[in-house]
Amino acid sequence: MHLRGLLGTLAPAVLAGALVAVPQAAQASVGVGIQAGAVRLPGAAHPGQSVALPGVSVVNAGTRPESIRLSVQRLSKGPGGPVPRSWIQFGAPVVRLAPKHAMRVSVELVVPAGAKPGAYLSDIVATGSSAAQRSAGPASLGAAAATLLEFRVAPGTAPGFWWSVFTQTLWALLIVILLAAVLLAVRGSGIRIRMERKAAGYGTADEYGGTHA
Amino acid sequence: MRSLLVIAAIVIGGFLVIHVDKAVTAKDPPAHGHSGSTAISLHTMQTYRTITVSPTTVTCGSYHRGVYPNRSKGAMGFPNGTCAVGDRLKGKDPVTITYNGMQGFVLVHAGWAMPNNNDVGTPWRPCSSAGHRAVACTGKNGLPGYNQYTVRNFSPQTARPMQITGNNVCDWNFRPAGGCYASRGNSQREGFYLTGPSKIPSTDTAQSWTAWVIWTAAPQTQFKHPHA
Repeated sequence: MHLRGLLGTLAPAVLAGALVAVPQAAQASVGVGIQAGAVRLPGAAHPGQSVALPGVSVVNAGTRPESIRLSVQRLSKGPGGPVPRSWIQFGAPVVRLAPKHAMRVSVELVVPAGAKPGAYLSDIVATGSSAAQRSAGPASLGAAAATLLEFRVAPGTAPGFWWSVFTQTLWALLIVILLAAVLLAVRGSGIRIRMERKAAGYGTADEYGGTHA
Repeated sequence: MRSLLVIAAIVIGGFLVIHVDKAVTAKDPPAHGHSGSTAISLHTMQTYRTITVSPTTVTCGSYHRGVYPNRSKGAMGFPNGTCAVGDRLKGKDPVTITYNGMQGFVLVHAGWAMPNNNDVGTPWRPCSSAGHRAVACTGKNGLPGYNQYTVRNFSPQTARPMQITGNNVCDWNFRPAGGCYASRGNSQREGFYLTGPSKIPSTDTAQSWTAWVIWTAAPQTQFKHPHA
């Protein structure tokens, strides 16, 4: 009797759950999102410098877990040269996200020493790629989202470079001065250090009863 | 002699002070108070730019073309067999694309068609009959050549299908009047026509393939419209 009552109570809930679940399964979607704000470097980078750019946020807007791959492509038109792909390093080039979950990925700009100064413009593209890893139907559909990537490369080396060279030189100079001062102080104080080399030996042949002619 | 030592000590001391000063950190912020408080919950506008495509896979049907004996109603024939996802004339557009977040553009491109289930097959590359902005089709009359295929998409609001290439272009079908411009909540239903290669390598044994169509939500910049 109690069991019937329990089933009677649970049945509508189970049915309702099934009705809700079936359309959701039928309407599975792939969805990707990316922050609308551009990834911009305040100031300028210099050839040979590595700079941390503001991170980029990506979101899985679909209904299933998704592997989102980050890449650099030129989609937008505008002033500035395209960003070479090798200049941008993501903290995680592929992120696995549950539905409706987001993540912030760090971005580093590595400007080679021979980089041409000027403005650079490209897009960071997040592409849902989980479907690519399995055998799908005759036509598979994907989603991607892009945001602007902008920075400027200034001519010459980074200001910090010369500062580091200066400080290192100053340290070396100070050490030399210090050593010279210690040397002079020792000489001025009248202290004499005498170094004498004593022949190392195991005794003479006589002591050990050597042979005599 | 002593004066020299003093000068050296002062210089070293000053230098150390400068460097040690850099390591000094700010004070920690005050801890949370324990007096009475009320948590205020609020929502903000979506700051992400997202695109959602549903369903995730579709089946290509209505097979046509090909030359006997390489022609079938149940599979893509050769050369240049065709199949369709949906039916433009009957108003069947099975794919729904939804844009959300900050305004932008909807771009679309096709990926390589790959053999399924680890079957042996050379990927088919999307080509362009117009021959610009992408790899040109090498078959007769602008049709796909060796290991090439074309994808054309359509929506209820367009008179003729648009060819999708391997490069991202504005999805003219997404918003015909707005030049692929999209804003919060815009959505469109679309379908496709696929045309297969003129020929494939005789060593390919794959009989099941997956073609790719990918939509991209892009920032609203000076993206040049393909029809402009």
